[in-house]
Amino acid sequence: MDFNLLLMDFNLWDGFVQALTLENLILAVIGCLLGTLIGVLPGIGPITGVAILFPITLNLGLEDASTLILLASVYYGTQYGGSTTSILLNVPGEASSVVTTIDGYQMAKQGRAGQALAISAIGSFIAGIGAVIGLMLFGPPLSDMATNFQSPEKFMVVMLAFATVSSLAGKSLIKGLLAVTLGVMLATVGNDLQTGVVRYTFGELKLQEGLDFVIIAIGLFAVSEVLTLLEDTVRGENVVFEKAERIWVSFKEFMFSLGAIIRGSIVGFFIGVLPGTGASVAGFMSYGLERRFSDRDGTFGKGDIRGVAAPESANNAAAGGSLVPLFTLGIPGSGTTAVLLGILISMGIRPGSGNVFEDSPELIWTLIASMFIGNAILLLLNFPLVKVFVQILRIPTWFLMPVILVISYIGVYSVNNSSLDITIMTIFGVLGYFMRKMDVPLAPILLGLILGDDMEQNFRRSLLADDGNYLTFLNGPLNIGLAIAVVVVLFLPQILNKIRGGKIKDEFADASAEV
Amino acid sequence: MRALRRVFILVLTLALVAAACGDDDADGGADTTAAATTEAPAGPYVPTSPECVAPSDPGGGWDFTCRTIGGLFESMGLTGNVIVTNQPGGGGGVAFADIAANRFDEDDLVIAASPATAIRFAQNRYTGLEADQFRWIGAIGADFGVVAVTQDSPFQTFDELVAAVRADPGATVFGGGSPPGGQDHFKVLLLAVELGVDPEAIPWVAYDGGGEAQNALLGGEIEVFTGDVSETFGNEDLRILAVMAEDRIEGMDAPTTIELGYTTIFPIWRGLLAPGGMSDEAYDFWVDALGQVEASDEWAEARAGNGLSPLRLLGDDFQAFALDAVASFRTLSEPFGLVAP
Repeated sequence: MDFNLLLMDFNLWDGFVQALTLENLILAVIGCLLGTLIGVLPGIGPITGVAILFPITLNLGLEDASTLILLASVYYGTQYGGSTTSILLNVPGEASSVVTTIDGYQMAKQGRAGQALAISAIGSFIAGIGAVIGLMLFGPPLSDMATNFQSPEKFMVVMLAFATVSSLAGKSLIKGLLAVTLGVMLATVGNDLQTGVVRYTFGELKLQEGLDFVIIAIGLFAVSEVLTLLEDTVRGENVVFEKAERIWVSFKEFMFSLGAIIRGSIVGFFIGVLPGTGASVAGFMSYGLERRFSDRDGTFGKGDIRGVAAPESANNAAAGGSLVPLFTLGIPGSGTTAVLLGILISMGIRPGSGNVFEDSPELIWTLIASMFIGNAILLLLNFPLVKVFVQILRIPTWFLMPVILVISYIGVYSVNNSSLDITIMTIFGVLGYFMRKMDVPLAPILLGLILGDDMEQNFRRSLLADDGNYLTFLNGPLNIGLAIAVVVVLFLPQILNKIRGGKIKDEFADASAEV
Repeated sequence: MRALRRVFILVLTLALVAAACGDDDADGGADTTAAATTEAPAGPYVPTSPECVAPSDPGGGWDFTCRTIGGLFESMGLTGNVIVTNQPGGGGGVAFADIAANRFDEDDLVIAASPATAIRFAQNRYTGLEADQFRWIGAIGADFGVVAVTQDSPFQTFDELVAAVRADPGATVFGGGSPPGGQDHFKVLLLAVELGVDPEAIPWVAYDGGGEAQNALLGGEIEVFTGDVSETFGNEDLRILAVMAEDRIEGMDAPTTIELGYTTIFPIWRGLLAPGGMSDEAYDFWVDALGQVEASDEWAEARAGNGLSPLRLLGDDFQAFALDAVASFRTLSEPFGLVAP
């Protein structure tokens, strides 16, 4: 056991050694910069950012570890960038920083934008580091438990992820379930593992291995977002810049917010660990809790620095927390980690089968080390460069959006040189546009697509291995616990909603463009 | 501003047109196009732009074959830089369809192959293509099938497992990293045929790769895992009841099926094949080059590092062996309805 722990320390050290090579360091800086830029752009969130960049990085011929470092830095960068525009412009750059606008923009209007930005950066930094430590503490032991997660357990965890995402993402449970179901249906395309039969490919050989999630993700998110934004441009938007003179926070203010940062980090981490919930839910939960906990004078909503510190810490901690189920069980906690899972699989790493901490230690520990480094880089970048980042919003939409579209198309085409991919992506872009119009949340579709095959195969394996006995899904305390969690997650928000007159649900709904 | 916008739209249009033009080779799918070398060079054949197609994503066995053997072709000075092209889709179907349609006469092109290739040819998964339309260059190195259980399994020996399966074929749950009719399942089919047990009566649970199947074995979901030596080598949680080979594997304390008195073996050979239109000169060159790689120390090291045993099957011998394998896989697949019309 001691030996094990020693081995792990050694591996984190190894990870640092690898992540700190000049090439990887440069990639981390580039990733952080790109991520922050993507985060600043309204609507182009982490899922879109990572999904668009993945095919491009494939063509760079990077080592697997370097690719992961680049994409993880992008992911972290988007979290930082999103809060900048929330505070200065009242425009959340991505869903997880929606709640930051409440107190952040008020602070900016009072001339305290500098403090808001500083506490957001510091809070994110502390939370990011805390989450990485949490990942190191909880990851390996949970990974050892992976053999306890057999097909019935895996099926139930996927059900929990589906229940959570459909219950929290979007304004209505029905629409959430609808979106998950659509995703699961898309997942049935291709070769069926239990029979070897090919389904829904219309004779197209390329579809035998299923629909490629990257293509669907770019279509659903990027293409449809560009369509929506181009439509909005017709109406015209004017953005009011609040100025940030000096980005700093006094020691007194920092101490005043420290409690909020720590509480936000803890809440955020554990919400991130739950499958199906991501950074935006964490932001809202922690804001609500912090207001309940420390708002004695009613200053929340009027520019309370703790109202920025708590959610900003929480959304970063959740980003780290969602890597726990990803690495240990292969169950992604959010849309972005779902994309990360796809990337890991394409590198030949299958989290959830075996112990990734033992099987691919170089990659996993390098990635974890790069998170420490990424957080530090982001802290350093954010202070001097905030003003520069905000300038990107001055680029007119009619220019920016088509450019993003072209990058997306070139990226997708470059993966397989296949016009079929382009067609599929376009179809899903248009589909995504109409789903946005109808308030059907998109993240559950992606999660359904990625986990649908897991759900189906584990369901059938469970029955095959247990002679068709359906009670196998309630066999053992773990399964019963998961079953109860599924019921609670599905119905508790609805019940609370009834009691509290629709307030909670609306808050979640606003946060849920991306989970 | 207006002028700027026009220029921008023009650029955008050009970019889209450029992307659309790419559609021509859409069905090709390969991201490298070999330079056409139609002029017949004087003297013996030497590949000008050698390429190895791995009909899968990076990371699998075919990819290993291309990268390792291709790298040795180059480092041993047999060829220039060998381009490795990953052309995934349809279990290799995309790559074979493309090569048959567009690159059937190329001399510089080789394709990675394994028993999975033979199985798919046997089951008509490479639509409209037959194994004998290709030129099989050779196989160097083989993994072998294993029959594995956990250390606390009631089956201490292979014979005990055989007796249990004979008594009640439906009672013991088998599993592995392939669908029914795939490589791991074929190990069970072949053994069942030899034992005179109805193969269809033996329960088969398919997992996404050997790692996941091993996890299921350790968790008790399946009772027997038919994997490969390379997947199970050195894993102390497993008890290897039998290795499906003639000779014992060094470092693996397990009997072979042959020494236990059975006849079924399951080598997972690693080899290369070429498009059927390849010239005899080129074919001879590749057979010779592969033979030189097989004899090298570098290959011996790479082979051992990946859990492969020595094997040397070249040229006409390999062609005959491969076509034989396809035929017997087909005979076995037919009763299960696994052969596509």
